[in-house]
Amino acid sequence: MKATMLRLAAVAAVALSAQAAVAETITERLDDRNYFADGKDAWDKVCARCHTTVDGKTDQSVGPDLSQIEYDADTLKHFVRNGHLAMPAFSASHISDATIVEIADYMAKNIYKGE
Amino acid sequence: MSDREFVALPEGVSQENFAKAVAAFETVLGVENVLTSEERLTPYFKTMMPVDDDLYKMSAVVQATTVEQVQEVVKICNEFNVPVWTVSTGRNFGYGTYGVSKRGTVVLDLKHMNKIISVDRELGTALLEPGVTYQQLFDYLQENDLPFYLSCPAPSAIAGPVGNTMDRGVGYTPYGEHFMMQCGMEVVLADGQVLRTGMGGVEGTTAWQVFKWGYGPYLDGIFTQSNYGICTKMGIWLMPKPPVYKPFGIIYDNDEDIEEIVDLLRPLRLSNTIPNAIVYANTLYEAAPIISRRKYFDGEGHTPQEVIQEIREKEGLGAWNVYAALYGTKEQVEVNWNLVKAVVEGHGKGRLITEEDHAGTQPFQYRADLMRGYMTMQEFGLYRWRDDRGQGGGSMWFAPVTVAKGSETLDQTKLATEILNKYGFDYVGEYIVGMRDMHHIIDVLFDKSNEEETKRAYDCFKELIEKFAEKGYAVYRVNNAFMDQVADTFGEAQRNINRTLKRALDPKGILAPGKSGIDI
Repeated sequence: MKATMLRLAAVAAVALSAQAAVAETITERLDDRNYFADGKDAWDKVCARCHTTVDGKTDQSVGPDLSQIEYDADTLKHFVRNGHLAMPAFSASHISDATIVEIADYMAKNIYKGE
Repeated sequence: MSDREFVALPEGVSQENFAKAVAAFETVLGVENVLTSEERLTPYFKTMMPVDDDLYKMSAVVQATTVEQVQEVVKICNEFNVPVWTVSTGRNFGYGTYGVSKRGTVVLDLKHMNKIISVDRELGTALLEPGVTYQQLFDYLQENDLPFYLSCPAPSAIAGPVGNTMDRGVGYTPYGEHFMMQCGMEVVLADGQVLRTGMGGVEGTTAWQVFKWGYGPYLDGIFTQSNYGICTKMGIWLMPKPPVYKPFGIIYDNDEDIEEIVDLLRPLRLSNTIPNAIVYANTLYEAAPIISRRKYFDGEGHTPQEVIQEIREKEGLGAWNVYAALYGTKEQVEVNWNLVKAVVEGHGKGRLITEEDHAGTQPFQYRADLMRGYMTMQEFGLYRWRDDRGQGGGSMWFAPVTVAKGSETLDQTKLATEILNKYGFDYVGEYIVGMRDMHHIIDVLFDKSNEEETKRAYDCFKELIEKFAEKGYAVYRVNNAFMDQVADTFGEAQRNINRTLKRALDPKGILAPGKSGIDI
């Protein structure tokens, strides 16, 4: 009887934990592990959505080509925080100051085409 | 008397009392999460509405990350009579962005409240916090090999499912009627109570995200497009990823075709042969995401018809450009594709385009991306339609809803075009056709850096609402500057009921006063 009860309890415990594993996956807050992994991640997931040409056709790009000028972090921050005409503004809750610095660094090394 | 300075004050609140409220917010949230300086608030000011943004300026932004903090914020707002306007991602550009309804309202920014609380792999449900973006959820599904499609609106990556659904926005997959695919929410009420709707009130329930209706009155609806509570969690359903996805387009060359083709394709939608909403994009809506009109026209006023014809010919666009998709097994898609082809080819006017010949080209690619919930912001090319690198930045969605019949289309398109052209603007529109309803989505695009043009855009939009209402057409959603006018088109009884509910649930009127024309 005792063995049966123990076996039943063990089965119930496994069933309960399995149910919990399927239905509940509490994740940490995204900000706790950085909203963007690095400058490239932020560039790809936000900036490049508009500031990239499509098949080299600049007129199909939503926003201006950013490869012609090397933008420092302060200049980028001005545009990001204020927006500009068709470009919306982004608050720090979307793109933090630290991420803007990372984006500037990534752009200088990978987007800017030089003189 | 406080010597603290603020960029604006809520109506009827003294500087001294507002300073006390701000100090209370700082105690609960931390100083770094209470934004009052011009510098920190600047990103929240810019809107695309045809108004002076100063009229819709907030006095402060407070950032909360837990339900308990939201309850405390609401308590402080009640104590000091400070109104509060909640945003999740604030990326609703054509409907107001971060703009509040009454100048000086505090914005509660829930962007940092961004946990993906759970995703059920077997049932295809998710429970989310308001700050989760579509990009974040998309990444999570990919990283965890969860085979589901998202359904997102055109802003996709930077917008979020909770905010979009709370405003009853739409997407382009078979799950595109977002509020229909929402199941259960958690709401903080004006008195600080926390309500879980549907099955959520049952202790230990597992059905909160699977059964919408619960017991008794269905309450989820009253919290959408309203100001009766602050949503802190929302359940949504996720579409299982099909084995085969086949996007396609149909190009029609004549403006008059719209009447026939809506009726032609409706049975395919009603029978679920085509399971997603069918989009019928007019020439300029098709062109704007990929070019500026300056490529063909550098003049003032609306784009002349001969230039529109030139754009069609040189960019390879139709008068009406239809997009839809098929989803299912190889066998299902093959059967349904043959049905679609038979209807289109039998009619004889449209040219079918598919991924085989158009993959990677725009605008086909961004439409194909949206119809499977991929992240793209190509449609934002609309915002630089009038001038590619100079002016622009003004946009308002005018979106009347009507019955999904071809007979509705020609007159509506004609009326909208006449009014827009009269004010010097282009008809940039598409029909998103569901089973029985049709959203006529028109982007009123203008140069917000030009004061005179901005005033014209305001007058144009006002007339659109007025003239369409005279014919029995009303919009399903609108930006902050026109909420009262639109509320009037739905009649006195609805306004009275909304006011009655507001007085019962928020007697001090602190939650988003004026949203959808609702006040105490």
